[in-house]
Amino acid sequence: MPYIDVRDVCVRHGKTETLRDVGFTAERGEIVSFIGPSGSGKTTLLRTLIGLQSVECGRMTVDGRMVNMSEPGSAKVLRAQAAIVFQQFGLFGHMSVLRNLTLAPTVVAKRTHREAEHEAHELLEKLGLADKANVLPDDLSGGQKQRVAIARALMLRPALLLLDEPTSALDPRKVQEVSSLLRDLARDGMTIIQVSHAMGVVASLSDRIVLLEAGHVRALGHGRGQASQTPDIAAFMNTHSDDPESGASAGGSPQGFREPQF
Amino acid sequence: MNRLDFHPVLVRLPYLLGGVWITILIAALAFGLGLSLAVLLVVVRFENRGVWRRMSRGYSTALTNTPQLSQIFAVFYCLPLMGVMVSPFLSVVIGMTLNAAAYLADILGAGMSRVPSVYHEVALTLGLNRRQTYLRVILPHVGRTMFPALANHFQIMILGSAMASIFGVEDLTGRAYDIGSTTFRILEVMLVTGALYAVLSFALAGIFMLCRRGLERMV
Repeated sequence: MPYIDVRDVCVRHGKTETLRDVGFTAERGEIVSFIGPSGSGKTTLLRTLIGLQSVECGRMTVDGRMVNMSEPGSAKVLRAQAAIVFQQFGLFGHMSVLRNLTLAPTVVAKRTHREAEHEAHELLEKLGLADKANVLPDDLSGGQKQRVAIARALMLRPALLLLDEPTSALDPRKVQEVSSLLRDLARDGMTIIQVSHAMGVVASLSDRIVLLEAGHVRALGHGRGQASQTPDIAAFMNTHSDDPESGASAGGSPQGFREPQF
Repeated sequence: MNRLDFHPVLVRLPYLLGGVWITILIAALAFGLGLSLAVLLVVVRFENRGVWRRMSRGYSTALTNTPQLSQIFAVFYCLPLMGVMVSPFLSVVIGMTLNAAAYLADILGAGMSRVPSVYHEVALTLGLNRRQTYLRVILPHVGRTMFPALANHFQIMILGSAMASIFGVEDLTGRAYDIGSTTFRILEVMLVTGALYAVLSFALAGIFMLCRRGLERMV
């Protein structure tokens, strides 16, 4: 039985069917990437997995525990096991970076300030932000904000980490660092689901790739050098590898998208 | 016309200065209580739809479109009719509190509508409940962003507290009337009183500026 098994997710906005019978699976410690054109429902799907999006139908099994996603109260169950990094980061502007990280652990999880701050400093160090602990988010660059948002999510010690464009604001060197961090986390057993337009990162980092198109799953495939084996996914990645947001150059490989070596 | 003679006023300056504390006390009490009430009003406004939201908005509309003096008079005369006997000082504080709450709720409301919508979702996904979200995230953010407007309203309240003298409270203006009626140096005492209000106002502006810098540094 897969660690995460999502089935039959349907989301409707008015008369528009945003997601239709979407499903995928992931094993513990796998990295799954949602790709697809803008408006295909990638972010909506990510939001359903943490209970931010009301769904018409759908169920999700995590480690054998089934959650009926359309039932009231399911959001709380989903949030208990997952953390999300939003594309807009959502760092609280009136709090220092350190307080952004320690707020939930101390207020919600009731961990001691000393323990939470120690863990936060370790994470910031790992993400190259050791000197930013007492800085306000407004004084950080986009890439630094993104890494702080990732650190804040990790402070929740989630079983499932959801990332909306986790490398969009990063320069190539930081993309490598964050990708390396995500790999380490996956190796330690965290399941990671990301939405990304960075085809190079998707190809090299993902264990599974889900191609969404107009709200349904167009293709399911594998990453780590096997993306080209699924024709639809390979075609999509080829056509989007020139995208300035993709983080990869078109000329790097015969498939068009370059697979960075981390 | 007689020459200006400040001597009778200056010899009574310690008595006049005593009124400064009453003025600050009235404004501070009304501001603090008004801010608490405003927080309730604005949370009701943002958390509810329908009748509660309309009542909160209606309260602000009613009290920001009628004279504050009328509101204090209403409290001053209505409470005894209801069997509640309160001192003139307390009547003024209550009247000014009700008025401040209406204005401060509008200020906080403007700040709330500028809170990034992602904050609510982030707070949810971090596991914060509604109370924790307001107390830890939303209200501190609003307080910080709206600090200049809130500080400005406090200064307006300091000046507006002069109305307390009408009800016999011995605030700065009340004591000024008192000195004027015994020395017949109304113009002189009012000039000195005006200068004291200006000094008080400038001092508060300086304090608030320091507070604002402190808030910006406080992370």
